[in-house]
Amino acid sequence: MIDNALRYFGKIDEGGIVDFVDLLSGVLNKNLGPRKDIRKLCSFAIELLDNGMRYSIDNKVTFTWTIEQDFLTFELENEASPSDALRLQEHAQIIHGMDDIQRRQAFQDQINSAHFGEKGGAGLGLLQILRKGALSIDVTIRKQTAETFLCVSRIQTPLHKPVAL
Amino acid sequence: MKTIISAGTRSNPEISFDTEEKVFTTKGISTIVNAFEFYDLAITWINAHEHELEGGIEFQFHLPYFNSASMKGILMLMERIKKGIDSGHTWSIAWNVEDEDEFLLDACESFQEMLGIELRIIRS
Repeated sequence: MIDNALRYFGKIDEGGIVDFVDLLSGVLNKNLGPRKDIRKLCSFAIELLDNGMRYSIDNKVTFTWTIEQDFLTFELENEASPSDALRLQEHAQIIHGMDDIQRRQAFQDQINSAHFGEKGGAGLGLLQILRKGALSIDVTIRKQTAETFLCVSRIQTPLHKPVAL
Repeated sequence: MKTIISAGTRSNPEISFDTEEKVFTTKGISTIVNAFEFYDLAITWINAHEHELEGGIEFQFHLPYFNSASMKGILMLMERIKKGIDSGHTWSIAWNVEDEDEFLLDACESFQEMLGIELRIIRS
Protein backbone atom coordinates (compact mmCIF):
# COMPACT_ATOMS: atom_id res chain seq x y z
CA MET A 1 0.00 0.00 0.00
CA ILE A 2 1.32 3.41 -0.93
CA ASP A 3 1.53 5.71 2.07
CA ASN A 4 2.52 8.83 0.20
CA ALA A 5 3.32 9.77 -3.37
CA LEU A 6 3.92 12.81 -5.50
CA ARG A 7 4.43 13.14 -9.25
CA TYR A 8 5.65 16.30 -10.92
CA PHE A 9 6.12 17.10 -14.57
CA GLY A 10 7.58 20.37 -15.73
CA LYS A 11 10.56 22.68 -15.74
CA ILE A 12 13.27 22.33 -13.14
CA ASP A 13 15.91 24.80 -12.01
CA GLU A 14 18.03 25.49 -8.92
CA GLY A 15 15.16 27.19 -7.07
CA GLY A 16 12.78 24.39 -8.07
CA ILE A 17 15.06 21.88 -6.38
CA VAL A 18 14.84 23.93 -3.17
CA ASP A 19 11.04 23.88 -3.47
CA PHE A 20 11.09 20.09 -3.72
CA VAL A 21 13.39 19.77 -0.73
CA ASP A 22 11.12 22.00 1.37
CA LEU A 23 8.11 19.91 0.43
CA LEU A 24 9.82 16.55 0.76
CA SER A 25 11.39 17.28 4.15
CA GLY A 26 7.98 18.34 5.46
CA VAL A 27 6.31 15.23 4.06
CA LEU A 28 9.00 12.91 5.44
CA ASN A 29 8.80 14.51 8.87
CA LYS A 30 5.03 14.16 8.86
CA ASN A 31 4.98 10.58 7.58
CA LEU A 32 8.05 9.13 9.26
CA GLY A 33 8.30 11.22 12.39
CA PRO A 34 11.48 12.89 13.63
CA ARG A 35 14.60 11.12 12.35
CA LYS A 36 18.23 12.06 11.96
CA ASP A 37 18.37 11.01 8.31
CA ILE A 38 15.72 13.28 6.75
CA ARG A 39 18.38 15.47 5.11
CA LYS A 40 20.19 12.42 3.78
CA LEU A 41 16.98 11.16 2.16
CA CYS A 42 16.35 14.62 0.71
CA SER A 43 19.92 14.70 -0.59
CA PHE A 44 19.11 11.67 -2.77
CA ALA A 45 16.32 13.69 -4.38
CA ILE A 46 18.64 16.67 -4.77
CA GLU A 47 21.19 14.59 -6.67
CA LEU A 48 18.58 13.10 -9.01
CA LEU A 49 16.95 16.46 -9.71
CA ASP A 50 20.38 18.01 -10.16
CA ASN A 51 21.13 15.46 -12.89
CA GLY A 52 17.79 16.23 -14.50
CA MET A 53 18.46 19.96 -14.41
CA ARG A 54 21.92 19.60 -15.96
CA TYR A 55 21.19 17.07 -18.66
CA SER A 56 17.53 17.48 -19.65
CA ILE A 57 17.53 18.91 -23.17
CA ASP A 58 14.36 20.93 -22.56
CA ASN A 59 14.86 21.61 -18.80
CA LYS A 60 11.82 19.45 -18.11
CA VAL A 61 11.65 16.40 -15.86
CA THR A 62 9.11 13.99 -14.53
CA PHE A 63 9.90 13.40 -10.87
CA THR A 64 8.10 10.97 -8.62
CA TRP A 65 8.53 9.99 -5.01
CA THR A 66 6.72 7.14 -3.35
CA ILE A 67 6.71 6.00 0.25
CA GLU A 68 5.49 2.44 0.36
CA GLN A 69 5.83 0.23 3.42
CA ASP A 70 9.51 0.37 4.36
CA PHE A 71 10.85 1.94 1.17
CA LEU A 72 11.25 5.39 -0.27
CA THR A 73 11.56 5.47 -4.06
CA PHE A 74 12.55 8.38 -6.26
CA GLU A 75 12.21 8.26 -10.02
CA LEU A 76 13.40 10.85 -12.50
CA GLU A 77 12.64 10.91 -16.22
CA ASN A 78 14.23 13.34 -18.60
CA GLU A 79 15.18 13.60 -22.24
CA ALA A 80 18.91 13.85 -22.85
CA SER A 81 21.37 13.89 -25.70
CA PRO A 82 22.62 10.46 -26.79
CA SER A 83 26.11 11.10 -25.38
CA ASP A 84 24.79 12.23 -21.96
CA ALA A 85 22.33 9.32 -21.80
CA LEU A 86 24.94 6.71 -22.66
CA ARG A 87 27.42 8.21 -20.20
CA LEU A 88 24.79 8.13 -17.43
CA GLN A 89 24.00 4.49 -18.11
CA GLU A 90 27.67 3.52 -18.22
CA HIS A 91 28.43 5.45 -15.03
CA ALA A 92 25.53 3.76 -13.19
CA GLN A 93 26.71 0.32 -14.34
CA ILE A 94 30.28 1.00 -13.20
CA ILE A 95 29.36 2.17 -9.72
CA HIS A 96 26.85 -0.65 -9.30
CA GLY A 97 29.68 -3.10 -9.95
CA MET A 98 31.81 -1.58 -7.18
CA ASP A 99 31.95 -2.75 -3.59
CA ASP A 100 31.87 -0.26 -0.70
CA ILE A 101 35.65 0.14 -0.61
CA GLN A 102 35.85 0.81 -4.34
CA ARG A 103 33.02 3.33 -4.13
CA ARG A 104 34.76 5.09 -1.28
CA GLN A 105 37.98 5.26 -3.30
CA ALA A 106 36.15 6.41 -6.43
CA PHE A 107 34.49 9.15 -4.39
CA GLN A 108 37.83 10.30 -2.97
CA ASP A 109 39.43 10.32 -6.42
CA GLN A 110 36.56 12.23 -7.99
CA ILE A 111 36.16 14.87 -5.29
CA ASN A 112 39.91 15.50 -5.18
CA SER A 113 40.25 15.88 -8.94
CA ALA A 114 40.27 19.45 -10.18
CA HIS A 115 37.89 18.51 -12.96
CA PHE A 116 34.24 19.54 -13.20
CA GLY A 117 32.16 18.28 -16.13
CA GLU A 118 31.37 20.59 -19.04
CA LYS A 119 27.87 21.07 -17.59
CA GLY A 120 29.28 21.82 -14.14
CA GLY A 121 28.65 18.42 -12.58
CA ALA A 122 31.13 16.81 -10.21
CA GLY A 123 30.40 13.19 -11.19
CA LEU A 124 29.65 12.45 -7.54
CA GLY A 125 25.86 12.33 -7.30
CA LEU A 126 25.14 8.65 -7.96
CA LEU A 127 28.23 7.62 -6.02
CA GLN A 128 27.05 9.63 -3.02
CA ILE A 129 23.59 8.08 -3.19
CA LEU A 130 24.92 4.53 -3.09
CA ARG A 131 27.63 5.34 -0.54
CA LYS A 132 25.03 6.83 1.78
CA GLY A 133 22.87 3.76 1.87
CA ALA A 134 20.48 3.64 -1.06
CA LEU A 135 19.59 0.06 -1.86
CA SER A 136 19.76 0.46 -5.62
CA ILE A 137 20.02 2.82 -8.54
CA ASP A 138 18.49 1.62 -11.77
CA VAL A 139 19.11 3.59 -14.92
CA THR A 140 17.41 2.75 -18.17
CA ILE A 141 17.69 4.67 -21.40
CA ARG A 142 15.57 4.44 -24.52
CA LYS A 143 16.23 6.02 -27.90
CA GLN A 144 13.44 8.35 -28.92
CA THR A 145 14.81 10.22 -31.91
CA ALA A 146 18.23 10.53 -33.52
CA GLU A 147 18.98 13.38 -31.10
CA THR A 148 17.22 12.30 -27.92
CA PHE A 149 17.10 9.48 -25.43
CA LEU A 150 14.63 9.10 -22.57
CA CYS A 151 16.53 8.48 -19.33
CA VAL A 152 14.80 6.94 -16.33
CA SER A 153 16.76 6.89 -13.05
CA ARG A 154 15.19 5.10 -10.11
CA ILE A 155 16.51 5.02 -6.56
CA GLN A 156 15.13 2.92 -3.77
CA THR A 157 16.17 3.29 -0.19
CA PRO A 158 14.99 1.45 2.93
CA LEU A 159 13.25 3.37 5.67
CA HIS A 160 13.17 0.69 8.31
CA LYS A 161 16.18 1.91 10.24
CA PRO A 162 14.82 3.56 13.33
CA VAL A 163 16.71 6.74 14.00
CA ALA A 164 15.92 8.32 17.31
CA LEU A 165 16.55 11.97 17.97
CA MET B 1 31.46 45.76 9.49
CA LYS B 2 30.05 42.97 7.36
CA THR B 3 31.25 42.66 3.77
CA ILE B 4 29.00 40.67 1.46
CA ILE B 5 31.25 38.71 -0.88
CA SER B 6 28.37 36.96 -2.61
CA ALA B 7 24.71 37.68 -1.93
CA GLY B 8 22.62 34.67 -1.08
CA THR B 9 19.60 33.44 -3.02
CA ARG B 10 17.23 30.52 -2.41
CA SER B 11 19.72 28.18 -4.10
CA ASN B 12 23.11 29.63 -3.28
CA PRO B 13 24.55 30.61 0.06
CA GLU B 14 25.54 34.07 1.21
CA ILE B 15 29.27 34.47 1.66
CA SER B 16 30.33 37.29 3.93
CA PHE B 17 33.13 38.51 6.16
CA ASP B 18 32.54 40.29 9.46
CA THR B 19 35.66 42.28 10.27
CA GLU B 20 34.65 42.92 13.90
CA GLU B 21 33.67 39.35 14.73
CA LYS B 22 36.51 38.01 12.55
CA VAL B 23 34.16 35.49 11.03
CA PHE B 24 33.99 34.50 7.37
CA THR B 25 30.58 32.89 6.83
CA THR B 26 29.13 30.70 4.10
CA LYS B 27 25.45 30.28 4.90
CA GLY B 28 22.47 28.88 3.02
CA ILE B 29 21.32 26.12 0.71
CA SER B 30 23.70 25.31 -2.13
CA THR B 31 22.01 23.63 -5.11
CA ILE B 32 23.81 25.72 -7.69
CA VAL B 33 24.68 24.48 -11.17
CA ASN B 34 28.05 26.23 -11.43
CA ALA B 35 29.53 25.33 -8.06
CA PHE B 36 33.08 25.73 -9.33
CA GLU B 37 32.54 29.36 -10.37
CA PHE B 38 30.63 30.15 -7.19
CA TYR B 39 33.20 28.84 -4.71
CA ASP B 40 36.10 30.03 -6.84
CA LEU B 41 34.76 33.55 -6.32
CA ALA B 42 35.25 33.12 -2.56
CA ILE B 43 38.75 31.76 -3.10
CA THR B 44 39.60 34.73 -5.31
CA TRP B 45 38.33 37.08 -2.59
CA ILE B 46 40.51 35.36 0.04
CA ASN B 47 43.52 35.57 -2.27
CA ALA B 48 42.96 39.29 -2.75
CA HIS B 49 42.32 40.04 0.96
CA GLU B 50 44.63 37.55 2.64
CA HIS B 51 46.63 40.35 4.32
CA GLU B 52 43.41 41.57 6.02
CA LEU B 53 42.54 38.15 7.38
CA GLU B 54 44.83 38.26 10.38
CA GLY B 55 44.28 37.38 14.01
CA GLY B 56 42.15 34.33 14.60
CA ILE B 57 39.71 34.24 11.71
CA GLU B 58 37.06 31.52 11.87
CA PHE B 59 35.56 30.30 8.60
CA GLN B 60 32.04 29.13 9.43
CA PHE B 61 29.98 26.93 7.14
CA HIS B 62 26.23 26.65 7.68
CA LEU B 63 24.83 24.73 4.73
CA PRO B 64 21.59 22.89 5.53
CA TYR B 65 21.48 21.24 2.08
CA PHE B 66 23.97 21.04 -0.77
CA ASN B 67 24.45 19.07 -3.96
CA SER B 68 27.56 17.01 -4.62
CA ALA B 69 28.97 19.60 -7.06
CA SER B 70 28.76 22.10 -4.21
CA MET B 71 30.48 19.62 -1.89
CA LYS B 72 33.40 19.64 -4.29
CA GLY B 73 33.33 23.46 -4.40
CA ILE B 74 33.19 23.66 -0.59
CA LEU B 75 36.18 21.33 -0.39
CA MET B 76 38.09 23.60 -2.79
CA LEU B 77 37.36 26.55 -0.52
CA MET B 78 38.35 24.62 2.60
CA GLU B 79 41.59 23.52 0.92
CA ARG B 80 42.39 27.20 0.32
CA ILE B 81 41.76 27.88 4.00
CA LYS B 82 43.97 24.96 4.98
CA LYS B 83 46.70 26.36 2.73
CA GLY B 84 46.47 29.55 4.77
CA ILE B 85 46.68 27.61 8.03
CA ASP B 86 49.69 25.68 6.74
CA SER B 87 51.41 28.94 5.83
CA GLY B 88 51.02 30.29 9.38
CA HIS B 89 47.65 32.06 9.55
CA THR B 90 45.64 31.53 12.74
CA TRP B 91 42.58 30.45 10.81
CA SER B 92 40.10 27.73 11.75
CA ILE B 93 37.05 26.10 10.19
CA ALA B 94 33.69 25.51 11.89
CA TRP B 95 30.87 23.38 10.51
CA ASN B 96 27.27 23.88 11.60
CA VAL B 97 25.17 20.80 12.37
CA GLU B 98 21.44 21.14 13.02
CA ASP B 99 19.59 18.57 15.14
CA GLU B 100 22.49 16.07 15.17
CA ASP B 101 21.63 15.44 11.53
CA GLU B 102 23.31 12.42 9.92
CA PHE B 103 23.91 14.07 6.51
CA LEU B 104 25.64 17.09 8.05
CA LEU B 105 27.69 15.03 10.52
CA ASP B 106 28.80 12.67 7.71
CA ALA B 107 29.81 15.61 5.55
CA CYS B 108 31.81 17.09 8.43
CA GLU B 109 33.60 13.78 8.92
CA SER B 110 34.37 13.54 5.19
CA PHE B 111 35.81 17.06 5.07
CA GLN B 112 37.95 16.41 8.15
CA GLU B 113 39.28 13.22 6.62
CA MET B 114 40.04 14.81 3.25
CA LEU B 115 41.65 17.91 4.73
CA GLY B 116 43.47 16.20 7.57
CA ILE B 117 42.40 18.88 10.05
CA GLU B 118 39.74 19.09 12.71
CA LEU B 119 36.62 21.15 12.11
CA ARG B 120 34.88 22.71 15.10
CA ILE B 121 31.28 21.54 15.12
CA ILE B 122 28.68 24.18 15.94
CA ARG B 123 25.51 22.41 17.08
CA SER B 124 22.25 24.29 16.58
